[in-house]
Amino acid sequence: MTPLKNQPIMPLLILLIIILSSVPTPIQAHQVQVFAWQAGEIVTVESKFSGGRPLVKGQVDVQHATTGASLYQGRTNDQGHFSFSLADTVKAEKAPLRIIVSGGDGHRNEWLLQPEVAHVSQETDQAATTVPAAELSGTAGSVSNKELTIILERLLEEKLAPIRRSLAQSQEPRPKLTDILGGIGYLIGLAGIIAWIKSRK
Amino acid sequence: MHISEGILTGPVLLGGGALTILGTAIGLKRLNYDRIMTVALLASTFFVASLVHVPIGPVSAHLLLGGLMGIILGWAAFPAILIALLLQALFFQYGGLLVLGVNTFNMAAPAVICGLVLRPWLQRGRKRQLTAAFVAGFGSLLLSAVLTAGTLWVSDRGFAQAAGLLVAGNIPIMLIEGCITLFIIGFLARVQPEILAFTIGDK
Repeated sequence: MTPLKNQPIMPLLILLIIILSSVPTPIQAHQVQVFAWQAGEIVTVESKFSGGRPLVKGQVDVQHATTGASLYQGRTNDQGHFSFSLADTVKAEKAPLRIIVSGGDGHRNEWLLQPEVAHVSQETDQAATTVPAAELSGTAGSVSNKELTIILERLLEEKLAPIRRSLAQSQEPRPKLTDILGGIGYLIGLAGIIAWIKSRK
Repeated sequence: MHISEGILTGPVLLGGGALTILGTAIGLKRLNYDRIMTVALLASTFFVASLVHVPIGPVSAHLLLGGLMGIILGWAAFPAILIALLLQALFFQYGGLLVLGVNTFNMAAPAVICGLVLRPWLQRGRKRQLTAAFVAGFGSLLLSAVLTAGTLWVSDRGFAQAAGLLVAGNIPIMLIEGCITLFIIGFLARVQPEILAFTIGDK
């Protein structure tokens, strides 16, 4: 049996603690982070690396989540953003969208987006398309309920966009301190069990 | 360095898995169970080191410490890295369960190669010892980057350019990792010189 003294346990323990304490907080997951939010008809996809650096020129593929058919494709811009406007067929189907972003270096992530179609707008959509724009903005005081709803909805979506963004961002899983300590405990516990089994033989 | 789920093709996943099983089997067979705590502590260090990001260059780079594991553990680096990567996949969503085999091989094989090749140098004076430590840290990360890039390249379409970027982008962190390995081995040699002596006889 090798004496415990000959094992670099203490120095390694010190090393572990040094590395552990240099882990930046809040801890960033080492992966491409993808999140998407919808504002009106526009869906914006934001993608970044750990540390907040945007994923530039990442390949974006938007698929129909159930059939897997590719609906939109493109590349993220310098801010790591990619936007597309929902086609009427997608809106009508209310199908969830699987948004896949892959960076070139083997990192890839996806985000599931359930397109939201406001109940009112479905009814008013037709009104919006049939009513000419000039009439819509028409004379003051002659705005109908439907038109007012459309305008309000558009404004509301604009205001809600940042909130939707941060809400989407907060859903991204991040490693927590408990995860880290749990992992270390797991490894050391496993070694303890193996050592115990071996010592019984 | 962790390849995400859903990028590689089936044959690559199977090939990586088979190589990892082989490496892990050799590692477990050669593992000196009296040193199990050392293995666990290094696995923990590897597990945590990936969270330390170095914001240099165009890619997302972090520490691996493969060279250090290879030098101290030899073949036992395989099972140690396998378990650490499994926990990273479960806790941090790094990589994934299906690509675990490929990721383990890409990180453990360079560690073992560097460790076994450079171990004899550890006994030939302070200067060579530190050089070997630096080369292990630098070289294992370089090999890992090359392997990862190669995996992406065989797997697909359009990754060739990015694969080159992966290697080039990791060069700063290779230097950092070389220095860290140098300091750790230098420190271990001072505090517990016997551990570096018996790693040679120990495969």
